[in-house]
Amino acid sequence: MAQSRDCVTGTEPSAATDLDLVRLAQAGDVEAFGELVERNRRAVFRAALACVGSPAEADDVAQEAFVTAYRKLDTFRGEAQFRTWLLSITWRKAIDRRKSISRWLRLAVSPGREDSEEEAFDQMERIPSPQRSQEDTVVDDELQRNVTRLIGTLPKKLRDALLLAGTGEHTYEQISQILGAPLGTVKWRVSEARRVLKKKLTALGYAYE
Amino acid sequence: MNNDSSWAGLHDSPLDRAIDRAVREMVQVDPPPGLRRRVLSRLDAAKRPSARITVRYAWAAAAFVIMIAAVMFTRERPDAPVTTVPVASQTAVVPAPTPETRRPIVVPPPPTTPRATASRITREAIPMPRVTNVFGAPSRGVVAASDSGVEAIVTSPAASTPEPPGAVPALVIPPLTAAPIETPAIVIPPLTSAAPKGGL
Repeated sequence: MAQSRDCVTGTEPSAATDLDLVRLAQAGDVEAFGELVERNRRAVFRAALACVGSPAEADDVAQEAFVTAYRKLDTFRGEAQFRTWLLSITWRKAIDRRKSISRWLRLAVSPGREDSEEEAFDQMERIPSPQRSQEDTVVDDELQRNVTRLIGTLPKKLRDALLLAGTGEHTYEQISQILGAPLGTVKWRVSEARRVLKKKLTALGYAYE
Repeated sequence: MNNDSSWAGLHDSPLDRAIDRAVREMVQVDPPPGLRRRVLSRLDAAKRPSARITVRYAWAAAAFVIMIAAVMFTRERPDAPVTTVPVASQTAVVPAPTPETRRPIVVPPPPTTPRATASRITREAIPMPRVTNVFGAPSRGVVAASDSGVEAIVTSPAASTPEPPGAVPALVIPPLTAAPIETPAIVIPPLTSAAPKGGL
């Protein structure tokens, strides 16, 4: 499967490390950069998706991030991991995109409302995960809709940390570097996001235990 | 790489599981296929316009340099000798205080050097005279009267020169006159001490 081949660096058939490919790409080897794209595309896409909320927008952001990374490849010195450097670029692009989307939605949907950014995130298009298990299908759909809606109403710092941690592609250390926040702060934000969600769900009448 | 072990499994309540599931559905999505191809095509497309833009900039720079060189070449040509043209002195108009005598005396400026007879477009450089003093020579002063009774005092060396054809007549501004305001006298009859009839 192509998906399983390109998702994680360790499963790549190529023995070259990311740093080796970066050196080749810096020397002008476009195919080497293409291999880097293949290795990191899922992590980049999911980070963008955690920020902008729309798969179509996340795909566009991912493309922009890779193009920007290729242009700035000479500035990469190898002090950090290539993936972390790439995810930082991705996150900045995604934040810019989210601001423009929110501004557009604020003007188009509800020009007079202040809290439209959170609602805009909630209104974005979603694609159901193909990995949905049989157990997931029997869960109360109303609870799921409420949880999804409430995630959209979280403060952005809590929501970003929660969704990045939920991608399954990024470690807390990487999330810390992407967000520019200390590791303990990132963990607290994830925990706080969960606590706020559970509190709101309890207020809606759902049992905590 | 994956932190699923710290993400799921530690939260056992139904709400925790619901949160985990919602987050998974939101972000554990695979990218659309063909991302590598799209990225490489964008890189290729980004390279090609840059070459075209470079050529355009080169053409624009060349045209700019040619234009600057042309301007410099035309400016470095020697000018014709500068000739000074006498400037006409100003005219003074002093009207008389009464309408009958308000006849302005307009002193036209002396005739200047004849201008070019025909205005036709030519490619040759026409040396233009350099204007030195637009107010005329100090000796050609203008004396004007501002009091009534003075009809016109104009001294100018060029007073006797005839008015050239097509000259614009001078603007005549009558001076303000101060006349006393006459009001009719108010006559107040003297008061009498006689008591009114039928009084107290």
